[in-house]
Amino acid sequence: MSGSAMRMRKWGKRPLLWGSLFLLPLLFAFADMYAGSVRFSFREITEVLFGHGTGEAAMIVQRFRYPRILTAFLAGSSLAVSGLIMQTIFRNPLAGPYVLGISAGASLGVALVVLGFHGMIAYSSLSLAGNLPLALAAIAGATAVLLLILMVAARVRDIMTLLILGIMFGSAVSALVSVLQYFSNETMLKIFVIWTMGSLSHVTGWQLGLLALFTTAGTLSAFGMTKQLNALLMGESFAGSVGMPLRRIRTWLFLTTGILAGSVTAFCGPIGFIGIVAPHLARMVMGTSDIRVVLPATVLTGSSLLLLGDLLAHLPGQGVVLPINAVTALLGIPLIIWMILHRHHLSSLM
Amino acid sequence: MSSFFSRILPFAVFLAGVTFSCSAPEKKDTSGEEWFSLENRYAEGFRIDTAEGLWRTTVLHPWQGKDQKVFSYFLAKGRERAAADAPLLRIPVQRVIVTSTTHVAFLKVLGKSNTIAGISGTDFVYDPEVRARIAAGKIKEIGHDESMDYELILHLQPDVIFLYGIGPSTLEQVTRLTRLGIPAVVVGDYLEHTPLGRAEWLRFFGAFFDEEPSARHYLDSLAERYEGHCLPDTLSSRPLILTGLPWNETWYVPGGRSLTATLIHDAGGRYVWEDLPTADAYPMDIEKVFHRGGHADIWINCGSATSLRGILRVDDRLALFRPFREKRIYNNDRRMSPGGGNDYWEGGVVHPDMLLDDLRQIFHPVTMPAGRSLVYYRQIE
Repeated sequence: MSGSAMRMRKWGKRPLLWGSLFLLPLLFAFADMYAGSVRFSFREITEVLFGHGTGEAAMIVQRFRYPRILTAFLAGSSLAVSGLIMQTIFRNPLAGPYVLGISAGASLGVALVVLGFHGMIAYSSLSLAGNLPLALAAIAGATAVLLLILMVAARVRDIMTLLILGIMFGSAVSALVSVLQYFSNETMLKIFVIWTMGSLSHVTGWQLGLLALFTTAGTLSAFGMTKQLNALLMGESFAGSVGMPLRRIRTWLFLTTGILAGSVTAFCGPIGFIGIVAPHLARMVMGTSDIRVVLPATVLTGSSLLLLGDLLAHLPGQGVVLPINAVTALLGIPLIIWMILHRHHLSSLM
Repeated sequence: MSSFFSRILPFAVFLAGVTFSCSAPEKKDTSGEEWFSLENRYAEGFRIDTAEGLWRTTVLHPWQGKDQKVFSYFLAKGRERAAADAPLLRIPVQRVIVTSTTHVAFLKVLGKSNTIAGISGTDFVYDPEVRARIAAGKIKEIGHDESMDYELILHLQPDVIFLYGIGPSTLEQVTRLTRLGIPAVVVGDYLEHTPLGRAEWLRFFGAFFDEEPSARHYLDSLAERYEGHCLPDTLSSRPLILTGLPWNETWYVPGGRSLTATLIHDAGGRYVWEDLPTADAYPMDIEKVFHRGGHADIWINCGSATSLRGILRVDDRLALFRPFREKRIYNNDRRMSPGGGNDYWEGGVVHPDMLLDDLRQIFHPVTMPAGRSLVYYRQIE
């Protein structure tokens, strides 16, 4: 059987599943359009959707809700894809986009700007520029950690050693962040803590453009690596035995994860659990661990999950929005537990 | 568990007795003194009682939240004996440490800035005189919250340290300082709902310097000016006023019973969130703020944004707000020190009449003398 015929069989077998998987993010996105502290009627929203809306409804939906929904879609799918890559490389069901210490690196960058320099530069000149310095600091921090990991990865052969080193780097960086937190004042601490809670609503304009660019590039890169990822599923020795350049693949996949998770963290703050849960959900729904199937499914489960999280975050109403990072944890943890109980253990899914 | 309590309880009771005796509004103390209350005019967070040569200052609301404590301090001039077993502070105090720029302002009015030996947050002080003393090394930075330098505090040997209550965690600081033999007084001036109530804490500080009567005198003339300048409640044409700046998607708005809300009302404005039944800052979704305040007439107190471009950098959607389009945004940052200290939060505390005049001039320019320039506010460009 030729490769394309096999692919046809795999895709063709589950039209209903694929249909519902495609519908899910659309459904949540549509529901999310209603979620907000200002109530609009079904008609008002539909009018805006079809470009006929005017006045406040159009303004709020177009300028506040569209960017938020698009951000949730991009961030959710990117975190999920990077989680899938990490779980595949490390052959560890609990690996996620942040296992390399990328989010810890981003936090350190932000913490240095918010907490570390407050004595040296005036507070007003810092916050004057809004979110941009924080995004830049997060990118710098994440890149630094990623470079460190890549340097080590070039020397270390064993993948488990890399995993442990990644976790160690992450812990060391978190320790530095704690020191900075300890010595910072209340206002700055609050700014930092709010950053760590994540947010989908303030990414607009060119920032959203940048996020879209990075996440699309990262996702395409992952799609280009399906063959290599599938080989890695069988173990590194297998991938090596079929003549794949292991280190180069590893470096490329780390870079992809760095771009995906790093850009999301830079613009939205750290958002947990989506990256761990979404790939498992995709494998479970599709009943296979074939990356060719699981990768597109992961894009859909990841974006659905974060859209659902955003929907839940807006549930309280009255102008109250729950921090997205707390919502994804509350959403993700029961899902993981349910999957473990359902399948006895997660690695059976891999 | 029970042995844990039996060990902790006597200690807790002891601490409660020593450092913060609960004060019921009784007239007679255990020691037999007849106590008279010096009535407050506006403030709700403290009370001052006096007996023969003794004062008792009581802080009723030291911090935000439900978990409140009542702190009492006994002050004596000369060699009066202690009432009950509570610690006694000899007044007037000669050397103090303060932990908020509002404390600096109160001491300034009392003419006691020169008693300050240490400050938490020296960078944020505006007063040039105090800044000069900081630069000359006569006033030390004592650190803040968790990283307070207790060795330095001991070394400075203050007669009293004024703490500002952030929450039950302040209790730990009080306990620690009391163990070191340094009387720690928790101040809750920032929790007052009215500008005059906040200014009245001057009397509380005055008591420690044996200057309560002159503080009362200052407050009386301040109140006369403030109340004389308030626009009547019946005023019909009130501009809609938006305040603050969002952080990420969250816009912390002062509640309808906050001091900011009171000031806006007294200056003849209608606050966007006047119906929010709280005094605390409330995290509001930016979308909701746009819904309620997008069509506001004037926008004040936009925090760290110092220009129209700065506001856009925080969130480009702020350009959709009417005050932005009409460039009617006023920030309270006209008087800033090089280190980032803002006199609005310092001198403004003891000059609420000037805050009121500034806001009146912004909301209703015709009601103010022509040619008056704003003191604490400036228009953002």
